[in-house]
Amino acid sequence: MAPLIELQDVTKYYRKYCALRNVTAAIPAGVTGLLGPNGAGKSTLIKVLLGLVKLSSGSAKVLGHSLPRERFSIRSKIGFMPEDDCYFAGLSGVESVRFLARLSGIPSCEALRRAHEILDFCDMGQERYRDVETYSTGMRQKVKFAASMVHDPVLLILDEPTAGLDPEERDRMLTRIKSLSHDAGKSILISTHILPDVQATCDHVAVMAEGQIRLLERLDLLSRPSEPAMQLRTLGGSDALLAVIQRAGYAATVDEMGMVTVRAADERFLARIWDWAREANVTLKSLTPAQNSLEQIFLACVREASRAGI
Amino acid sequence: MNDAATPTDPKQSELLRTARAVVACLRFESRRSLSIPRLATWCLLALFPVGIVTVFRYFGEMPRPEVWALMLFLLIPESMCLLGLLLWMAPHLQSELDGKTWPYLAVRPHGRLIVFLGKYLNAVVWTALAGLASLSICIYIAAPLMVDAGVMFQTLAALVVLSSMGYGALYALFGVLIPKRATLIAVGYTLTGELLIGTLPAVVSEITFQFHFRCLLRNWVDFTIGADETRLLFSEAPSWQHLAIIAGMIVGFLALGIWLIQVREYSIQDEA
Repeated sequence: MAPLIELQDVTKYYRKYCALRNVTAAIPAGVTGLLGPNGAGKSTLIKVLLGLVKLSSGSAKVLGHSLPRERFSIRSKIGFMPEDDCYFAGLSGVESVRFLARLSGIPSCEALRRAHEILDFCDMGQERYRDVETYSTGMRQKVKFAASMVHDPVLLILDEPTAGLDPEERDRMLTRIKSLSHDAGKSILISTHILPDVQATCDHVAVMAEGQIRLLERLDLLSRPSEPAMQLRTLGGSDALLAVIQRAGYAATVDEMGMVTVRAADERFLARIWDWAREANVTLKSLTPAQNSLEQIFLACVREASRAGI
Repeated sequence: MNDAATPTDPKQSELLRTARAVVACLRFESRRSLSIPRLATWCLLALFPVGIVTVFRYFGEMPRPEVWALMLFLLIPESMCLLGLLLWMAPHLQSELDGKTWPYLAVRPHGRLIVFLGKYLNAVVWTALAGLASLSICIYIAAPLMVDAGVMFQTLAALVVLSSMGYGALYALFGVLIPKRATLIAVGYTLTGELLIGTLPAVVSEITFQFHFRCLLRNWVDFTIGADETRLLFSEAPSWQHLAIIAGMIVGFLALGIWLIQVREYSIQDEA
C-alpha cells in the first residue's frame, strides 16, 4: 500500500531558523501519533502538509499528490482541526460547521444535513443552536472536530484534539477517533503531547525532535521489548523475590513502584516462578509480558537528538 | 457520512463549487455585517453627503445647475465610497489574515480565493448600496435645481458602482500585500494618489481611478463648466476606452491580489 504521506529531504527555514531539517519519512495509512517536545517542528510539518507554508527544499507528497503543485487536490481530501481556539463569532455551532462545509463547495441543504449528522456523531445536542462564543472548551473542541471532517476528507490532521478536555470527554474524543479510523476507514494524524492518547488510539507513532522525525514505527512493534521479558507485581515487598530470581540466573530489575521485570523469560521461567514466589514468601498479583513504555521511547529519542546536537 | 455527493464529486465542476463557496462567504460576511455599529456607520456614511447637499440646497448660495454634477461626484463616488471601502475592505481582510480562523479557511480547497473574493464582494455591495442610497436622497433634494436629474442619477449611480469595485480591488490588494499596515497604506494612497496625483493636470493623473471616473462624468453628463481651464484635467478619449481601462485595472488588481494570497505565507499560529 502506498504511503499516505511521503517526505523527501524536507527542509523549512523561517528566515535563519531551521524548523524542519532534511525530513525524510513515509507515513502509512491508519492512525499516526506525531509526538515531540515544544519547538520540535510538529506544527511546521503540519503546515507543510496543509500547504500553508512553502518548503525551503525537498519534496512532499500527500495522498499521492505533490506539494505545492497539487495543493488544491490535497486540500479537498484533507481535514484539519487546529489547536487554537478558533471560532466564528456570531454563529451557532451548527452554522459554523455548515459554513465551513459550504466553503468546501457543498450545496446549502446538503451542508446543513452533514453539519447535523456530524454534530450528532460528536454528541452535540440542542447546544448546537447556541452561539459558539458561549461554548465551553469541550464543546468548542467538538465543533472544531466536526468542522474538520464535514467535507468527508480522506485524511484528518488533528492538532491536540484532547487539549483542555475533562477525562470523560477525552475518552469520548478518543473513541470517536478510533471509530473514524476503524469504522469509516479514515487516516488520521494526531499531533499531541499526551502519550496515553497515542497509546490508546494510534497504529503508528512518529517522534520529532530538533526538526527531524527521529522515529517512525508501528506502535505494537515499538512496545515489544528486544528480548522476551515478563513483568511481575506482588503483594507486599518484591525484594525477596528479586533476589531469588537473580540467584536462579535471570537478569531482573525492580522499579520504584515495586514491579519486577525479568529479561529472557522463557517457558522454564514460567514453570518455576510459582516455586520462587513460595520460596520468597510473596503472593503474585500479576504476571504479564513486558512492554516498552512509550514515554521511555519518546524520552530516549529526544535525548538522542539533543546529544547528537543536530 | 460517505453517501452524499462529496466536494470531490467529478460531476460538479470546480468552477461551480468555487462560485457556490464564494456566495456562501458573501452571505456569511453580509450577515456578520448586520450589526448595530456597522449599520450605524453605514447610515452615517450615506447621510453625510445628504447633509452637505441639504445645506447647499436650503441654506447656502444656490450653485449653478452644472456644478451639482461635480459636487455630487466629489461627495459620493470620490469621498463616501472611498471612506466606506477604507472601513470595510482592507481592515477586514487584514483581520482575517491575522485571525485564528485563517487556517480553517485557508485549508479548504480554494479557501484563500473564496475568502478574498467574498470579502471583496461584501465590501463592494455595502459601499455601493450606501452610495446609491445617498445618491437617491441627494438627487431627490436637488432635483428641482438640476437640468436633467434622471441622467445625473444614472451617471452617478454607474460611477458609484465603478468606484466601489475599483477602489475595493485596490484596497483588497493592499490588504494582502501589506496586511499589517493595509489601512495605513490605503489612506496614504488615497491622499497622495487619488487626491493629489489624480487632480494634477498632467499625464501622470491617468494612472488613477479618479481621472477615468472624471472623464466618464464629463462624457455622460452635459458638463460645460470652464472647458478651457479644465482642459488638462480631462482627456478626449471616448467612454469605452475609460471603461476598458477601469475594467483592466480592476481585473489586474484582483488577479494580483488573488495570486498573492495564494502564494504568500501568512502567520498562522505559534510553533507548538
